[in-house]
Amino acid sequence: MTADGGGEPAVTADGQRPEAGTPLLEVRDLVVHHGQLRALDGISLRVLPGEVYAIIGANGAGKSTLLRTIAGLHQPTAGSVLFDGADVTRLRPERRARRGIVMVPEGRRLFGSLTVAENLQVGIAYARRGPWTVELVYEMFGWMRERRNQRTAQLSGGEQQAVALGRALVANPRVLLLDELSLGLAPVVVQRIYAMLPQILATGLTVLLVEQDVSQALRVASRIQCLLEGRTTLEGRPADVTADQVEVAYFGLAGAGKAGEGGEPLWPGSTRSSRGC
Amino acid sequence: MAWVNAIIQGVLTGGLYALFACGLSLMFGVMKVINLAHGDLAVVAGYVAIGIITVTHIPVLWSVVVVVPVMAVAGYLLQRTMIQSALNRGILTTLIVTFGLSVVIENGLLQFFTANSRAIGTGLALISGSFKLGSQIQIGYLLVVIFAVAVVVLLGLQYFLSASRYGRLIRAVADDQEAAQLAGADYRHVFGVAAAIAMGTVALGGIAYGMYSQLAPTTGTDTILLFAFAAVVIGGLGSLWGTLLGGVVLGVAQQIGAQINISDEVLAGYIVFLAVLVLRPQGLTTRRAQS
Amino acid sequence: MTNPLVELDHVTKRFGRVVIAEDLSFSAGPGDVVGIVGPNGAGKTSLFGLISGDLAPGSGEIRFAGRAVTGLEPAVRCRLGIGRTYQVPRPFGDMTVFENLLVAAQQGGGLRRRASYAAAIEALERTGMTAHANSPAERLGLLHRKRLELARALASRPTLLLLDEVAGGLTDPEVAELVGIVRGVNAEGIAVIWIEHVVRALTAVVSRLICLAGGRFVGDGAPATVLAEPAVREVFLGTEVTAALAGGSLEAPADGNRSEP
Repeated sequence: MTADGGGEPAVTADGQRPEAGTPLLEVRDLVVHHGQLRALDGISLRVLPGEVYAIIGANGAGKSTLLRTIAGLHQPTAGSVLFDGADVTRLRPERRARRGIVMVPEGRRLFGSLTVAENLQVGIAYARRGPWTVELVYEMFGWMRERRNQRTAQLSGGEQQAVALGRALVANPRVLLLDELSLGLAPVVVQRIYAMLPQILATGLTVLLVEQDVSQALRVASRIQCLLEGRTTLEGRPADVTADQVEVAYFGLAGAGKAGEGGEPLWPGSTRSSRGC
Repeated sequence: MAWVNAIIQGVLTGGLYALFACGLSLMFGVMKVINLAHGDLAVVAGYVAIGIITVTHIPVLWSVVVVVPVMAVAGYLLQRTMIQSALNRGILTTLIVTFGLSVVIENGLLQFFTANSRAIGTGLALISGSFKLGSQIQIGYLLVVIFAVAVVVLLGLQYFLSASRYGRLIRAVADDQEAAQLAGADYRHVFGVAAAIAMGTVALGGIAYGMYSQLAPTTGTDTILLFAFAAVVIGGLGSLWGTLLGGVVLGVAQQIGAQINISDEVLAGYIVFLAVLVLRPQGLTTRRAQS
Repeated sequence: MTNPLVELDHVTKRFGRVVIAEDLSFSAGPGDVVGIVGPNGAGKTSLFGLISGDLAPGSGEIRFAGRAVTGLEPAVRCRLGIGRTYQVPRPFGDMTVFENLLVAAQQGGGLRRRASYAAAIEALERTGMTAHANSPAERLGLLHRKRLELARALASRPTLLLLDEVAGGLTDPEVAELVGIVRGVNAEGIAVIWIEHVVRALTAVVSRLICLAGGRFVGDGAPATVLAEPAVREVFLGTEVTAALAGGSLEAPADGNRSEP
């Protein structure tokens, strides 16, 4: 295997055109550089209202860069970001947040000198109207009300993640961007947080998340997209992708580590099985 | 008894110094900017007050009501234009830019007003008078009023920062600018508000100094900025009430120095400043050393 | 292994509660090419830091060419023959490429004048930077900066080269060229340990792949075998995918967690 081949072409797992319907969030041919380092090379995606869209891929693949560019923290070199049909590529991050694109950044990024309640209040400062209130967040995370006057630095990793999530929710976003929720958290805690997704979606939100743990992403997403070295190597529904396809898309190596027969469908009920690439 | 007088004098001057310092501390805490023109802007406020009084003959205290808000707005504009664009290029650039601003202001004042010092006449007998405690201690009313004003300002600031929406935003932006953006806050605007507060308070300090002592074009740097800096360092960066403590320590040190030798007043203050830097660089109120 | 070039002997390193290395033992021989993969924060760069001297271990010993180097300064270790690249190349911007390499050869390699010139020219040729020898370093584009970083490490005439994520952000032809350079370097007898996220660059060159996760080695052996090991797959792909790859039985996800548009 040499390294001089071209990038793997994007595989749409069920071989069909991408989902029809107006996307709430769309990215077209995004090219993003960090200085001269090319982080994303022509990424496109469409997130439909009400779905959970997961971006997976190895470190350095560009997942967080993609989310941060969508949130407005990074300007792309080329391509566009569309929200509800409108081009928001040149919009500043705070303007996007006020329109309803709210990100929970990697590493929580709570306001350390503020209490839990104050963090939530900052989230409300520029909130849109909607079902989410501080009260609702306290209800969702039962422990939070009692500890609301504590400095966030005293909370555990999982609790901080909950506050960060709450801070984003009270802004009543239309699309919630979750950047590596599971980072630094124990698996049990991660499960608990992801278990809240249905409740969140029930209030009319759409979720675009980046997840390091591929299996976790496949568990919660309605559609996934795998990035490798800044390009898309796989997209589709979890039910339609095989473990082999995921592995190949993740590492970029055809036939990587095929000790067993492989090619088994990942989820039962899939209409397609393959022997990998 | 002269010593007691000196100490009381020093404590009260601390209030004045706190007015100088709290804006500097705020701007550094929120946006990591050290505005080297901080003191000069206070002097400008003083000169503007003098100008307004000379032209319109309004009472001295009314000039405060006019000048302070105007300076606050000017501070906002200065932040949104000059200082923000300097910040975009790096924190060192703000030092250079504000240094340049300081030079321009001082030379401008020199040009228009000559090097003579001026005072803001406090015609009111109440303000220029003093009262006696016991038989030996004499305290000027003005200084007491300034101290009281400083305390009120600090209380107001503390309340603003802890309980108001903008105060929360200022603290949030100071903690994590990017996370604040993600929450919908335009940090440039929040910086502007912080700068407005800083300018307003230092303008108040400048006018107070003009009443208490005298203003000259160079007073901004050689007195106000340096004393503000010393008060912040002694009291501890990031602490609002620390600026009062720092101011008080500085004032007391100066007065004690003056008792020893009248020309050692300012020197004594700086000796204490140096001592704090060497022995406890995080200041008297901060628990850990600041990075 | 007889006469290993570099050894880590029961090395432990912690930053507060975070474990970077947990009783790690590792050795590589002269001329070996080893690849290291693993999630971010697993301790890969810290491993390099322990070898190059930027980090001191909490416990354990580090040996180079049979000699204990624990406690030796990075500069001393560089003179002994450990060359290292850093994730963010920071060349001396005002100096030309050649001058940067001279500094590396003289300061890092301890070479005298004539020898340092030779070493610098050699490094230029190995990395294909001869045409840029007189360019100021700050004017270089990304690929050339990374090459300069590699050349800088080579100019000190190392016997062990530590490469830290040198392939990130490169286009395919650039990755191919980089792989060629590394192969050439190794062909001259220099041992290479390469941390990388771009796995296909590694598999093109290394004979041994190590997966580092949570301060421990989770896999160590031939690349194809290591990438097929469940423990290693688990690190990257998680439980279900790993199980599916092994052909194991699967559980459908709890419906409450899955959403459909």
